[in-house]
Amino acid sequence: MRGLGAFGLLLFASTTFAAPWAFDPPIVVSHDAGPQAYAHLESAGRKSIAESAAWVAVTWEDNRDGVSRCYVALKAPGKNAFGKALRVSGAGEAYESVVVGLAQGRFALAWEEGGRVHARLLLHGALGQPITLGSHAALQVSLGYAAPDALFATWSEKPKQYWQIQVARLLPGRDATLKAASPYAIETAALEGDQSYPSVVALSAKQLVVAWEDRRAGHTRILSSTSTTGGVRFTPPQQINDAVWRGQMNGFGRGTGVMRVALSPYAAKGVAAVWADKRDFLSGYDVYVALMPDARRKFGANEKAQDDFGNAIAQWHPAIGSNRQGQVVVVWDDDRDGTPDIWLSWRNASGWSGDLAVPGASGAGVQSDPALVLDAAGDLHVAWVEKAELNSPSHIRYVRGRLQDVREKP
Amino acid sequence: MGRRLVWGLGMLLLASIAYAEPPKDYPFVSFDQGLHLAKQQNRPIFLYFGRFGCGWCDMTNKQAFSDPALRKLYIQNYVLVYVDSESGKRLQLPSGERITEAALGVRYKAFATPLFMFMEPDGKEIARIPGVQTTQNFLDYDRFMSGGHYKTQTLIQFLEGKS
Repeated sequence: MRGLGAFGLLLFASTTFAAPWAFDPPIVVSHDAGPQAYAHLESAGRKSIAESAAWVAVTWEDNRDGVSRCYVALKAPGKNAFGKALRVSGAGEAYESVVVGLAQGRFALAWEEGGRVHARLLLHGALGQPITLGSHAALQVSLGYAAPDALFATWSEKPKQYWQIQVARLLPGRDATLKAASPYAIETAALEGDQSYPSVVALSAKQLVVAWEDRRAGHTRILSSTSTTGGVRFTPPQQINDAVWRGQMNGFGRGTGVMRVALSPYAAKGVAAVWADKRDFLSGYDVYVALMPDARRKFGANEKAQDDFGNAIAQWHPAIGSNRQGQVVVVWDDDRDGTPDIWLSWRNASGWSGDLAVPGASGAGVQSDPALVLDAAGDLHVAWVEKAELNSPSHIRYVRGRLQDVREKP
Repeated sequence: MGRRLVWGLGMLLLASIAYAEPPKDYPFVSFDQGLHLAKQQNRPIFLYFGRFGCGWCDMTNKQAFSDPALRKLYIQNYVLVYVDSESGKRLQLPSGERITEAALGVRYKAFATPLFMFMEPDGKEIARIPGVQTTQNFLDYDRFMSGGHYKTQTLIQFLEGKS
C-alpha cells in the first residue's frame, strides 16, 4: 500500500511539469584529450561555458600530456561538433579556467597558472597574448561581461596573511590584445580571514556585483558587494546566505557551511546567485538561490531550488544561468538515482519546478560538475564531466536544450 | 567597567578559538602526503573530514581528541590525515589526477562532518564513522583496527560483540 502511495507520488511529481526544452543528443567536447586524461570543469563562479553570437565555448582542465593544463574548444553556429581543443595556459600547471562571451563571437578567458592568474582573448579560433592579473600570489579567477565593453575580472589574491578578493577591469582591443586596468580590493581594511571563490556580474562599465566565500566569521559565508564606480570602490559586504546558526551547539563551532557561489545577470538590471548550502547539516548541501532584481538593492530571500526528492541527499556543484528576459535556471549533480546525474530546475510563477534529470547527462556512469549558460533566446547550453566511475579518467560533454513553446516556461 | 572589559576579552578569546580545525597538537597531514607516508611506513590511515566552523567537529576535538592517552595512541598507530571538505586546496591522487580537497569530499560523500575513516596503507577503505565521537568511541575503533578485527568483521559487528 505504501509502495503504491510512493508510486503515485512519483507519478504526480513527474507529470506536474513539462520540461520547456527539447534536448539535442549530447556531444563530446574534449574529444582529443585521449582515453586516459582526467578532465575537470571547476572554476570560480562555474563559468566554464559561454555563448556569443551562436558560438559556444567550453573551457576545462585536463592532464592529457601528464600536466594539468587549461583548454578551450569552440562550436561554430549551426554545427553539431566542437573543434580541436586550443591550449589556453602556458608551460606550467594550470587550473580552473573560465570563459565569458563578448560581442560578435569573441570570448575572454582566464585561468590560474604558476600561482598567479592570467587572462587572454579568443577571437574566432585565435588566442590573443596572455596577460597576468594582480601582483601577488593569486587563484580562483572569474570573469563578467556586459555589452558593449564592460569586461571585469575578479580573483583571490594574497598580499599579506589572508586571501583577499580583487577586481580589475579588462580592456579588450579590436584585435586580440587585452589590457588590464589597475586592480582594486573590494575591502581596503586589513582582513581577519580568507576570502575565496569570487564570481562577478557586470551590468555596465560602472556597475558590477561581486560575491565570494568569506571565512572571517569563523565559518564560511557568502558575501556580496556592489560597485558603481567601475570596480574602484565597493559597498560594505552584504551576507547573501541566511544566518541560520542559532548557537544550538552549546558554544561549539561557529556556523553552517556554504560553498561556491555563482552569479549570473538577471532581468534588466539584476543579478541571480546560486550556492551550495549546508544549513540542513544531516543531508548535506542543498541548492539555494537569491535574486537581486535591481543592483541598487540587496539580494532577496533565499530560495531552495531543488525539489523534495533531493532533500535527503547532498547536492553538489550548483551552477546558474539567467538572462535579461528574467529566466533563471540552475543545474547541479546528485546521486538520488544511484549514480551522480545532472539535475535541472527552473524558476516559474509558483516558485521552482520539479527537478529534471537532464537528458543525455543522466543515467549509468558518473555525470557531474555541470556548467550552464542560458542564451538570450532561452536555450540552455550545459557542459559537464562524464566518466565510468568516480575515480575513472573523464571527458567533457555538452548538450543543448532548445526552448519549446510550452506552458511551463522558465 | 573592569568586569565588563574582562568579559569582553573572554568572549573575544572564545570567538578566536571556537572554530573547528584539526585537533591541536596532532600531526595531521594532507591526503596525498598521508597516502605516501602510509605506504612508506606500512601503517593504516585515520582520515578526518572536517569543515571550517563545524560544531560537531569542534565538540569532538575538544571532548575526545583532547585526551592525552588517545592522542598518544592515534599518533603511534596511524598516519593522521585531515581534509577540509570545503577547501580548494589541491592534492594529487595515486592515479596522477589533481583534485581539490572539496572534490575529494564529494568522492567520499563527506556531506556531513565530521566524517572519520580508517584505511589500509594503500588507501583502501576499512570503515567510515560519521558524526560526533567520544574518547571511548575512538578507543573502541582503535581496538577494532589494532587487533586486526577489521579483517573478519565489520565495525558494527565488532562493536555489537564487544564486552
